[in-house]
Amino acid sequence: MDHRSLSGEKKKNVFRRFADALVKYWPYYLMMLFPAVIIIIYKIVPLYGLQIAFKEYYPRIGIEDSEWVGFAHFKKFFTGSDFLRVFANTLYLNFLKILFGFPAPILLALAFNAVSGKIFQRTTQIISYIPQFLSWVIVYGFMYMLFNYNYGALNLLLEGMGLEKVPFLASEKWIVPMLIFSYVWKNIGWGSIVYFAALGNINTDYYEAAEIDGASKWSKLIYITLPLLLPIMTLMFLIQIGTLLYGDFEQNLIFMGMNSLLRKRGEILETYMYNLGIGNQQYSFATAVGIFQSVFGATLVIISNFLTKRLNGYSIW
Amino acid sequence: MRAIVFLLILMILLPIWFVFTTSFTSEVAYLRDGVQIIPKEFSLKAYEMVFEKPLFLRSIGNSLFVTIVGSVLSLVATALMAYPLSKTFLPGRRWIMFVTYMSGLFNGGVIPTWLVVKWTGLYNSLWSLIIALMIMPWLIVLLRNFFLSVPREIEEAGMIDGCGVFQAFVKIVIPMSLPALATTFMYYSLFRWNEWFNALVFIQDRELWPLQVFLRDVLLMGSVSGGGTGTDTSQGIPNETYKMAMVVLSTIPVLIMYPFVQKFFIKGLTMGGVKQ
Repeated sequence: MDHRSLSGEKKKNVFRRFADALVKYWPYYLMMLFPAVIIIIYKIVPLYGLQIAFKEYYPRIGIEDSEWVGFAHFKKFFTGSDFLRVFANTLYLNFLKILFGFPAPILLALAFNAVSGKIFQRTTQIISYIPQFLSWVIVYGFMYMLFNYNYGALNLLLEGMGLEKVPFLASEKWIVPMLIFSYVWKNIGWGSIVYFAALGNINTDYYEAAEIDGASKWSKLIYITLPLLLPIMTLMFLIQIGTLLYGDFEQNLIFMGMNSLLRKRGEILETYMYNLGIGNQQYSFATAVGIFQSVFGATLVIISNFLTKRLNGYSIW
Repeated sequence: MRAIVFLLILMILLPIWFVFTTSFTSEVAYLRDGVQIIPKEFSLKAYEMVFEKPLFLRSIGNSLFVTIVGSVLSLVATALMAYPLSKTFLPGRRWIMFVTYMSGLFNGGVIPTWLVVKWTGLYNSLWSLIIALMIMPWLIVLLRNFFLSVPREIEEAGMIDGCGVFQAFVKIVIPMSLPALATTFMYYSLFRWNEWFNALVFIQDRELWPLQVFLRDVLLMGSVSGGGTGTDTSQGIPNETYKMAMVVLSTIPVLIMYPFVQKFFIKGLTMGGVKQ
């Protein structure tokens, strides 16, 4: 018996096992058929389309017959003038979102935790989650009322104080603060939930013991509360680091609107891809940008998950 | 402490309140005084105008259709996938689970997905949103984890009594999993109600636009000129207040559902680990 027939035998066994399983458990496999077809067509088949990043794709010619161009689109992206700007914008925005968006929910949770009165606490908490449930379009509508140039609340206030009005929503200088503010506004309440839950799990004995020792409010916060929050803080921090290359696509898209001035600071990888791909029909180039983002983005996610596992013994998956 | 929390909550509520009051102000008063905490000249004109807009009403209909039909289908598909995957004896389930999970992490992205939507003939149809976005892999994981916790003995007892796999699933597992199924349904429906980017890519006709896409169009068209150029002000035709009335009408369904759904969402946070 030579090697080939042995492996053939093995293969047969696999098929055999599969056939047996199919006979024995067919209802379970039948159940999965419908969702599996959907996943295959709309999640896995698109992966086949990724090859257009290495081709010069024209819809009229089709994916198969389009010409292979190797890494030409990637080269064009990396050496092009847009790369640094878009890449830097993506990282910079996410850096600021972590800088402001990471501590904000923690502070809110601490405030909720310290507040007296169950009803007041519950009501304010529930209100704080509302923005999370609204789309970015609607959030933009709200920000519009606060910040628009002619009649916005903030500009009326500035005018009332005798200061000059500021075109918050339409100036290159202000787009980043607007994005950060609306991001924090939308996420602060929802983000506080995990921290609030963690605070509730802290054993009150610790505080009582500290009080007996005469600890002040601040030292209790610094020596008891924060160290006990550290695991969940690291976890949330690492999750955010993992998404460093992914922007809030819908947010940037709506805040930039049709104002091309704002693209200079507000353009991120996703919007860039969208504008080139769908807007300018540079399908191959936009797909190449997408691959770049996926590969580096997924690497970051995997690294951050690995670190989380090491530090907390807790994995995202 | 109370004061601090109160101020923070005020910061969250203020923009919502401003949109609300503006939508009830007459356009003339708004253009004269700007945003007010309490409307000076109460008017329903903006709402009258909104309801005269057939495209707006259509977009609400489109959104409702996609949200309701889409979320039901999503829930069915997710449950059908999650249940067999929770059976630890099922050969191949690890492999299927892995592929499912990975399909959520790495996907073709906007353009290849759009090409498949075109290829399957769904381009420029509401069904593109319903079918192409039917499954969120992480919700399969979430629901599967829940199904794992359903005691096997109860199911087995049912099967001994003559239930088949399907019957056991429908009659025993589903009634026991209602909270988890509701949570999954809520996630899908909120996602579908708020989603607009894919609609922007998959749908061309204005008549087929979901509400969010329509709203985006209305909001941005105005802001090109820096937020109200003052055209039409003399006639008092609502423009700014009209936009805000639309924002209010789009927010209301979420706010009505909100007290009921937020509990489920918080449950979702703890059920499948942390997910944003």
